[in-house]
Amino acid sequence: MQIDILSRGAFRSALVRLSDGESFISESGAMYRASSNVDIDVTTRTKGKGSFLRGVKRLLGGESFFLSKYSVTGGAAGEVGLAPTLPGEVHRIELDGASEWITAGGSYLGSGGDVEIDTQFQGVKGFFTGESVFFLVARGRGPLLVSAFGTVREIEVDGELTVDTSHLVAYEGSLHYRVGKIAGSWVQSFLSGEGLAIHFTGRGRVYVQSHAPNEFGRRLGPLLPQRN
Amino acid sequence: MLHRIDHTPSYSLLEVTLDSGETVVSDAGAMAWMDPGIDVKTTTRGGILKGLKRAFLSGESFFQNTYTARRSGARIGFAPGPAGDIRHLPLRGELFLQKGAYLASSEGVQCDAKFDGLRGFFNEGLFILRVTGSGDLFFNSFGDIQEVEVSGEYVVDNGYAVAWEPSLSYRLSKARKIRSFLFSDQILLRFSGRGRVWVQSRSPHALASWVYPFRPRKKNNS
Repeated sequence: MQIDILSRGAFRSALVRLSDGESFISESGAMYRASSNVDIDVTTRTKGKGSFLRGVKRLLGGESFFLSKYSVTGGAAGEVGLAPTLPGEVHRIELDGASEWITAGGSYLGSGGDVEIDTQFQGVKGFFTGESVFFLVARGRGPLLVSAFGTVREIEVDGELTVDTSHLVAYEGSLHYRVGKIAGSWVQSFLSGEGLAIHFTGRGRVYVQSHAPNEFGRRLGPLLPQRN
Repeated sequence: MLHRIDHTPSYSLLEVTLDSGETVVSDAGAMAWMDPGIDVKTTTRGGILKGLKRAFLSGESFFQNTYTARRSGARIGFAPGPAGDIRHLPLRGELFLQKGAYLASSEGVQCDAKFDGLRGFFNEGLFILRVTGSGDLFFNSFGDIQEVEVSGEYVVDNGYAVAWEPSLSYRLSKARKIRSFLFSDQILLRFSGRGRVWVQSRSPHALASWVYPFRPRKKNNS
């Protein structure tokens, strides 16, 4: 498996080259080009104990209901291009089988066929500000692709770090975290406009994106006609 | 006609330099700036019917603007609607473009809407653009443009094909499993033959669907 991040400019994407027998998973709808020998299936499962319920859980995670699975059969190599919806970067994280990575719901783009994807629900605190706090957990061995709205800043944490939930892309499972408020009280936190924060402790890497998708959406939404 | 394309692929801008008496044609509204000494004529180019077809069927303008330089070295800047890439192609013959992908061309290139049959229904409408003739053609995208050499068969997701050569034929297909159709995101264009297809790395449709949930809800008290 070879992955090229097509990294010209602001609208990045990934081109995944698969050999015979290899497979790749993505958020459904992320595929925009593929060689004709790639078999595209819709799945609710990833490696591990997959189930319908997991598909539902994934919906809550901010991703589409289903995942797409791409596999190549018939001897020849094939390729699949994957692109996120918003402008921005695509990054590859290599899972070594030992540590897991957690991505924010909207930042998962795809992963190797041997990577298990599961959903983590982070409690109802998120509903206070209307922000969902759902994560996807990736474990196993293989590549993980994440997308960001804008650019990615990688931060090495050794100690503590606070990140606004809507700027979080992904973090290493070695970190401990707590979802909470940014300012001293809930009212202040709400007024500060920062919403929910994640407080990390320990050692590990965190990917943060330069722009918050929900902030962008909130600017655009009121300019459009009302929906029923 | 000299040209340069700056700031590719994210915020591409086309700059054309004309000789005295030379002409460049663009979609009405694409001109961002120009030097003095250029005559602008707005016409339907090819007749009212062609203009109507372009406007109502293929998402381009009813009118096309013709810019003719009265002096040598006059420059014009053309900017596409979406942020993204612009490609130059020396056209000799025919090329198909997705709706809205035509930016500008030299005088010898004609741009017309083409009925694409029901197979085009899921793509950006029933019509595509057909450009013919010989000269310089400039087309644009939302996002990066990637050129794919097809030999045999190649699959592009609905709405991501910007341009393709007439030597390629295509048909719509769904992803193999029927249930995927229910989720409406796996309608594919299956190109076959030998030729080039240009693919964009983002979809305006996908972005619009993404924004949709942010629209305000209608109040119920009316």
